[in-house]
Amino acid sequence: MMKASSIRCALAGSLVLVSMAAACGTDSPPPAEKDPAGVLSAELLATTWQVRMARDEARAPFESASGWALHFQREQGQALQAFASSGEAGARGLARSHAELAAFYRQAALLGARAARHTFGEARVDEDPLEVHYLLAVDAAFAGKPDEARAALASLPPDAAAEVVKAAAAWQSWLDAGAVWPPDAALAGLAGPGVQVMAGQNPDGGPHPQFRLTERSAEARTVELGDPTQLYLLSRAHEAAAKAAVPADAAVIDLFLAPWSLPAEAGPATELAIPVDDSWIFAGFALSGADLVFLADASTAGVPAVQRHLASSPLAAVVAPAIVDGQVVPDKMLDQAAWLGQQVEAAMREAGGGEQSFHPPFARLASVAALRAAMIVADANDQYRDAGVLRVNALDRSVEGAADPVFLISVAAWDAGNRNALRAQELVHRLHRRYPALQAARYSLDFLHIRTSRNAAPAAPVH
Amino acid sequence: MALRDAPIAAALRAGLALGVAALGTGSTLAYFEESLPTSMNPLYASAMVDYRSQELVFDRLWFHDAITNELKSRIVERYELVDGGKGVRITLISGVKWHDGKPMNAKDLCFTVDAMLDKNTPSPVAQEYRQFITGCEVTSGQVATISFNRVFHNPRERLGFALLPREAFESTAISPDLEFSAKPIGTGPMKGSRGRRGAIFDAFANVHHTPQVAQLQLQDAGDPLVQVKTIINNGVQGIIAVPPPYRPDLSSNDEVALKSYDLRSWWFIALNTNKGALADPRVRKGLNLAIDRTALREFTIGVKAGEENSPCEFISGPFVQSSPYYNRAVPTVDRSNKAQAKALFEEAGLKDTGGRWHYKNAPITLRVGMLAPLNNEAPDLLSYIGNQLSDAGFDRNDLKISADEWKTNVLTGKATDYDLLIGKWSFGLYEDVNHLFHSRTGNAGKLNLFNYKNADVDATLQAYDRAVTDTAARDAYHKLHTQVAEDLPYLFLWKLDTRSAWRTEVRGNIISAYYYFTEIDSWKYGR
Repeated sequence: MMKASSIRCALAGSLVLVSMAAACGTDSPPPAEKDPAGVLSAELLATTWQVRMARDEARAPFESASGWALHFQREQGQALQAFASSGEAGARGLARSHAELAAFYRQAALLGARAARHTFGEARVDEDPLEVHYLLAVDAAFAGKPDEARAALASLPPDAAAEVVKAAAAWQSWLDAGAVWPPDAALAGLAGPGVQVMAGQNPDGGPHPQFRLTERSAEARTVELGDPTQLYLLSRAHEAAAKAAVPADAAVIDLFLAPWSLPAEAGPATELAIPVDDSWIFAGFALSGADLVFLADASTAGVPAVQRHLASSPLAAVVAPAIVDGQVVPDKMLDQAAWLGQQVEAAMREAGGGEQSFHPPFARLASVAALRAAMIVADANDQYRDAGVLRVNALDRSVEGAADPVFLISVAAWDAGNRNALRAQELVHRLHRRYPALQAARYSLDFLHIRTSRNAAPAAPVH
Repeated sequence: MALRDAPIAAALRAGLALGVAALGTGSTLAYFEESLPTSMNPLYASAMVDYRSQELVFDRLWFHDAITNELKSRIVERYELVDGGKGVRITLISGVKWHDGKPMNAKDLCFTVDAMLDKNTPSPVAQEYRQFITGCEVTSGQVATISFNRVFHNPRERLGFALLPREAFESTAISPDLEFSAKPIGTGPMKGSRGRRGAIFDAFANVHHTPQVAQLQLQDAGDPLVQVKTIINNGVQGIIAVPPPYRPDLSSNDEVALKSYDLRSWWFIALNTNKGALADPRVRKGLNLAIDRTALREFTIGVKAGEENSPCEFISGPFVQSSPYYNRAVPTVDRSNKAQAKALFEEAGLKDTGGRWHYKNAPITLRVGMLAPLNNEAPDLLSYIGNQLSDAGFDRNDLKISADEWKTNVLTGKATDYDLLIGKWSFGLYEDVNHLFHSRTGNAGKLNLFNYKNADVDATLQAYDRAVTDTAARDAYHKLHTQVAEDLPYLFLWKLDTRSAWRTEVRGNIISAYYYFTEIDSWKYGR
């Protein structure tokens, strides 16, 4: 039987516009309530780059430099060149671009290693070349499991392909020397021209594939694979270029990279004695310099970091109310992120003297930043699935200017760790054009997809 | 759980421009679907809306967590491999009730398997399972063993079928036209029924499901503009597929969130290779060059030429570009080339008389059909393609085909009176395209729309089926891509990302790849 309220609505609908429908239904949930006090104190709100950059004169240094325009358009190669040709004025821009590429390729290395682990580890088949043990060793090294890496290298065949033998020997020497991270010195001989980074350059990772192996089948087909080691080396080379551009900011760069580091890497110091230049945060996902410190701390400490940085970090302050009984609650965090966006947008209007077209995209960056911060906290808090929910929500909102390649590739790496090649492939495909070195990770990801799909429950194609 | 007396969606007629909307009340959620489900019987899903709807009503034996991708089951208590991996003994959880109140047990599991194995069950899904399942034996009340024709180390990955209730059927030969297809009985979180204008899903109390939404109301999607206005005004709470031109409006609205829906969909124009001039591959190649995909995409989907990271990406073969099966060496045809097209038509013996192409002294009129619901995603695509064909010198007769007719006539290969059919195929993790291109012989080619026949293509598809290794499977599909891009049983158009929109009052609404509603238990309405 139809409720009276619905009947009223049906009648109303015959006379008026659809907008009437919003008022119908007696038991509709209340509209989204805005937190009247805002999610940030006025003091913290004022520290966010969005509010500080609401004034034209504050943004002028960025808007007048072609390097920054290219950087925010994700034209990394051109941005690097523009910054490099700007001398001292472009140094921090150059450093940030190189640092973002370092973060990107660190996650790409993780993606390639995880995809290889799931394809050639527990899902290995008899026909796989025995050299795939090398890829399992690299994955284990990245994961901070040197004993597993040793065991994997020990399983390599005596007649392994020459390229694999060379790469395995480099990792073996690192293991033999005690497996103290970083392994860069041991791996130095593997760095070809494609992963050597000069200031202002973005090399393509060198020729692909790194390995052409022979399948152990009657047909003896060739199996093409990439080496995540190359992506790691490329990442480290960009990191070195960033630090060379502004040596005084080395500690800032460590904080900047911390959320994207490999599991084997130790976290950086979580205090910062120097001020953070706006070049490190403008149009990014730390709202203030204090957020960089908080995010680095949160990436290993989780919830306790929120309390530690509550007074100084806007993102810690936004995440704090979403923590209940020591756990990040995704639904609460979604509200917090939405309210933060609204609060930031209102504050920009006030600071900038009216509505401006850049306010909504800047506010969106704040909302996405909040979700990503909560995701980092949840990850370190052993809330794997909750962190995943936040990750997916952040991904859904990462469109247009908020489509940060570093975050996108990190989602792909996370998916690969879950044996979920479907979304990872879309993300990699989308990024591949601008980051051709990513191909090194793509080989294993493609095999992961084929292997899982050929073992999946059947489903007929549908329209 | 006490079910709420949720009202039927009230249809609001609000003038020509606004069309039909619906009311969402309390924990009732209304949403726009691409079309009505063609069948709620899991053996007969032929459209994505079918899979999505069935996911609400049924439990699949095993499924993947939408977030972590972990393999899970809501109805299996434990399992063990038997017979060296050629079987799996399954213990179902106790206390699960079918929507008619009867208890679920191992007999239902074996009935489902037996129904799939019954050759008189003409289900494409069942046919796939027949390739490796050989039987099912009930051991005791909740315990049964499924046996296979080969050893599997992890058979759970392959056992993703939905359980059917034994007592709802008279025999294991299940036909698609039973009442069950409209009023199914499952053990899933919602009890569903399909009407003429929509479908209703009511929450159902069970030991393994705790849905927090009392009712879902599926509405047939109409004009996309009306859909968008209706969700903004809270007339419905969700839209399954938002066409790209409308996404910016919703993206900038604080009350609505756009959500990714991982689905591999690609669009095509199937050509009737057995009819008239289209039997000549040179004519098909000419048509491939007469169609201007860039213009079509811009007019219908709103994507400008050269736009990066577009939700709509051209394809040159039967896979999306991100798939490892896609042969990246085969170039896409983005623009028309009328001079080359003309040369090919002439080479094939077509005569240009008064600007119209003639075949055997008669003007060519192409009968062009399009699956009607696609018009919501790509408005006026049929007309634009028709116009391009006219510009190329062909008379044409444009027709929209309902989802039901598509299912009964087109998918079955009976729509041979058409020359061109515009459609799309959707895939999840499983990307087997053999049924689309293999000649219709025996159990092969079940979805071969125009009964296309090419011995070389058949051989390649068989090579894929026989492939032992991943590289062999990939190489076979790369070869297939090359072959069909050359022989052109289809003109391949593009892949189109799917994005949903849900009101922000809808919480916990995790969307699963392909099946969509797998995590419906976590959905709730209100803060």
